[in-house]
Amino acid sequence: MHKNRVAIVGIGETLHSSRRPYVNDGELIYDAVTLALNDANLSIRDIDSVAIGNMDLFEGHYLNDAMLSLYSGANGKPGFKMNTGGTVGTMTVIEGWYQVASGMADTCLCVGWEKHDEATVTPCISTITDPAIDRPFCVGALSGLAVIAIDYMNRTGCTVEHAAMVRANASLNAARNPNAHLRDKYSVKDVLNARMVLYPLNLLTVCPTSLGACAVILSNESKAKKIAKKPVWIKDHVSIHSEYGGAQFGVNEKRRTSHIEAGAQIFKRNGITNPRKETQVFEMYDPSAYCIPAWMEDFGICGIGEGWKLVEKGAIALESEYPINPSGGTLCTNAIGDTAMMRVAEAALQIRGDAGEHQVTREVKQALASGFGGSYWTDLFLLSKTTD
Amino acid sequence: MKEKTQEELVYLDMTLKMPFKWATGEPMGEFFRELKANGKIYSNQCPKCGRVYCPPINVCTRDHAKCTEKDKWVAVGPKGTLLTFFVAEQSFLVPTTGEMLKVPFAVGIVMLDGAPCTLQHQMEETDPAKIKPGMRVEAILKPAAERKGNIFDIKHFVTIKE
Amino acid sequence: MPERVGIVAAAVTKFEAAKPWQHLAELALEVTDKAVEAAGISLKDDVEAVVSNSQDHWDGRTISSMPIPDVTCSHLKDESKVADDGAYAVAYGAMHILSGDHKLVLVVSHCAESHTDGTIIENWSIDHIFTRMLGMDYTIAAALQARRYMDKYGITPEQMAKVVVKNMGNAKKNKYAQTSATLTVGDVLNSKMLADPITAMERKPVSDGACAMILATEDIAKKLTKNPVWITGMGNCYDAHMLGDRDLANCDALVTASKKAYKMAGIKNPAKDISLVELSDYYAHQELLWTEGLGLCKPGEGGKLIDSGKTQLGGELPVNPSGGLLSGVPVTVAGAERVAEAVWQLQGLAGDHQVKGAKVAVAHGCGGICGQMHCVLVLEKGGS
Repeated sequence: MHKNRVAIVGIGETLHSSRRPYVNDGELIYDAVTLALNDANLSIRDIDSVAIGNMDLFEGHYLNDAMLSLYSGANGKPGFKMNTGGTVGTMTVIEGWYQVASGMADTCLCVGWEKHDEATVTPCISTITDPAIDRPFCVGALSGLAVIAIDYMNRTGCTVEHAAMVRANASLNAARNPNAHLRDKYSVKDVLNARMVLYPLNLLTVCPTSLGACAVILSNESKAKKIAKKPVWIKDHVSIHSEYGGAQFGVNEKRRTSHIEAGAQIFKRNGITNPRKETQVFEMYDPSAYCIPAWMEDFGICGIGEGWKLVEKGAIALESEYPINPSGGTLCTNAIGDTAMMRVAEAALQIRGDAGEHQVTREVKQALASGFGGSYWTDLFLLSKTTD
Repeated sequence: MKEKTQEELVYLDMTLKMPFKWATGEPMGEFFRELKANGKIYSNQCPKCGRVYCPPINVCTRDHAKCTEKDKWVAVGPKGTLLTFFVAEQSFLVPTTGEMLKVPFAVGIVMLDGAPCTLQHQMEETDPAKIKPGMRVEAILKPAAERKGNIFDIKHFVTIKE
Repeated sequence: MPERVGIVAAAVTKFEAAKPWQHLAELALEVTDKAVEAAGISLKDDVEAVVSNSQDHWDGRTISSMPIPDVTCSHLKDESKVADDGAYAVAYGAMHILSGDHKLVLVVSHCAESHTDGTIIENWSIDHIFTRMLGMDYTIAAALQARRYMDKYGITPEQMAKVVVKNMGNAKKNKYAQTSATLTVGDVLNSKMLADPITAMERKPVSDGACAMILATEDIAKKLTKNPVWITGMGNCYDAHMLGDRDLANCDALVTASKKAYKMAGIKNPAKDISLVELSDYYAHQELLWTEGLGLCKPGEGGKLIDSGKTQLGGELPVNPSGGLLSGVPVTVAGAERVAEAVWQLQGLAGDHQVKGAKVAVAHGCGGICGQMHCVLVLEKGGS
């Protein structure tokens, strides 16, 4: 399988907010890159290659990996770019992984960002659809998320109250995370009373649009052991895309979403039969509050129909047996180009024990991190404290 | 350096427009020609696994078998069963027109009778309390003179009692 | 390189100024089917991962690889989209295999330039704070580059025009070429001036098309074909973005990329060790400049090189025997198609434009303003 081990040796996350008019996109990237280099105690000269991820179309740019090469440190270096929607953050780490694992680079700097205050997001996301057939019937990412939510409620008996519980729990976590965007604490009642956006998603049960940047430095095994006191190993990863025609957000016949496939592959390959026991935390890409219980089931963390029951019992909280999104998740912070990368970064911080106030209480030996986008495109990472 | 107030910051305003003329290809083109000329919704079926696609496509996404023989095309609907739906209550910019969406805006994903394929289109009913997955609906087409050979030749789905 | 990635087969569509009867996904479908058939494999059972390659802006569709799993039978499989020039996609596919992650990969690249206005898209790639509002597109930027190149090294308009004469003449022998013609230097110089000194014939035309290829481990490649093509060297590099931060008469990023690729491949003297080059000639003068960056001649001697006749189809070191991009290949697909042409040369499948005895080929892709980023692949003939 994977021949060369790859570790995360540096992590940088900027603050996230709705607007940062004092900073341009290059400066935002530079912030994240500097934080990651400082964390790894490296200079840009120690970086062999870059992996860039950003939804350039949303921000009104094209080839902005080239446009902003000065700020990411790409000048004079090799690199690749991805712009795969919600999965872009995790795909960028995968881009970096391939560069290191193939032996083409010893170290790779992965950068994902979104300057949302300069982006026109929802109309651009609507263009994931085919222009002839369904573009007029798509409202950005929201309509697909609503379909997922309604389908989940219909199949399993989950209610809007459960979604509110998820959001209330996320707010407690985000309040402890200085890099999160929305950090106010909400009660279940607060969440239920928020303004409806697209049934059943209201302003709080769907993710925000945030701006921010994240950088992660990858290294091969021999250098990782020299660079980092606490390297976090990318034990495995998988990327699964779905068809478009007839996909309908997993609502069609014989429901087998890319999440189901991804979880099955990762756990089988790594001999994991009980992910809730054999991993200690999951940073899951959660674009809506309904996604957490629905996708806990799809990934195989619990049985179908059990997700919302675990939410009801408080079994996803930071202090619980199996915390989901101790960082606050995508529900509290969503800068598209960095969101999925933040899942990897946050899971890695948990393994290192460096998540500060939002560190989970038990020792984290293995963690899961996921990215999601499109009409079910899934990336799933298994991170580990040690190489075995 | 003293941080400037927002009024003192320099912003660059730009509105970027991109014109497009997309090719729809033969199967989709045929779908629109039939809609316009005959008011019929067509789908095609994989000869290998029987999976049905609406609108029609060239190859089955699961086993790559060609689906384009004319005798494999089937007229479906216009009635069907609602699989799921969404209702937008907040307005957004529509990328194809540059105008704001008129809300409330409801869209249904409908499994059309005659073949298990799905079509997305606007719904006449916009109150989410009145829409339930599993409801029976019907696609209403525009009158022939108004049809242009695009997806809007279908006006919307209406709920029906059966 | 410790082990070799093999290219088993490659396929392209015929390139045309417009392909209105094919949906974008159908372009990808056509080349996927052709490549799979040429490789003699099963798309469903043998292809483990798909590396797709397209640009959202050109497709008018974000996550423009959305329909790709449908036409490549990769529902619930690994599909990733590289948002750079097609040569990068081939390199990325090779990395899938070198990492041990996958054994057989399909790379598929598509673009239909006729669907939209490329100059707007090019303008979007230019720094938005200082430069974009000047109304620059790649042709204007290329004109700056050409002017600087001519001033620094004395490259002449005639030498630039010779590139067009050569490539459009070569294209006559390429069944996939969009256009071809027998031209004189005068024809080229007298064509409509776009941005001095670049005339209409010195710019790549608008084109639609697609390209696909099958990459595999060495073992599998040898089982599938008697004529695998080995990827023996790869390198890519970014240059500075702001035009004033570079000397446009040089192409430092290409020098870095090609040196890396040559080192991996064990090529010590490019001018002697390489049988042919397929490079990305978006503009006529860029072929001359890129031959310098690829080490085929000294800096500033690109003009002398074309004057010498070495780079003609029958010469010692043919450059763009296929007719190059100047004969009509879409952006994005361009770098992948350069690799495909190089593959056919090494497999002896280049038909009328075959370079005899081709053993080592270099394929080059680039992107961004004035070729800001470059990707170089060194390919070697396998088999007997």
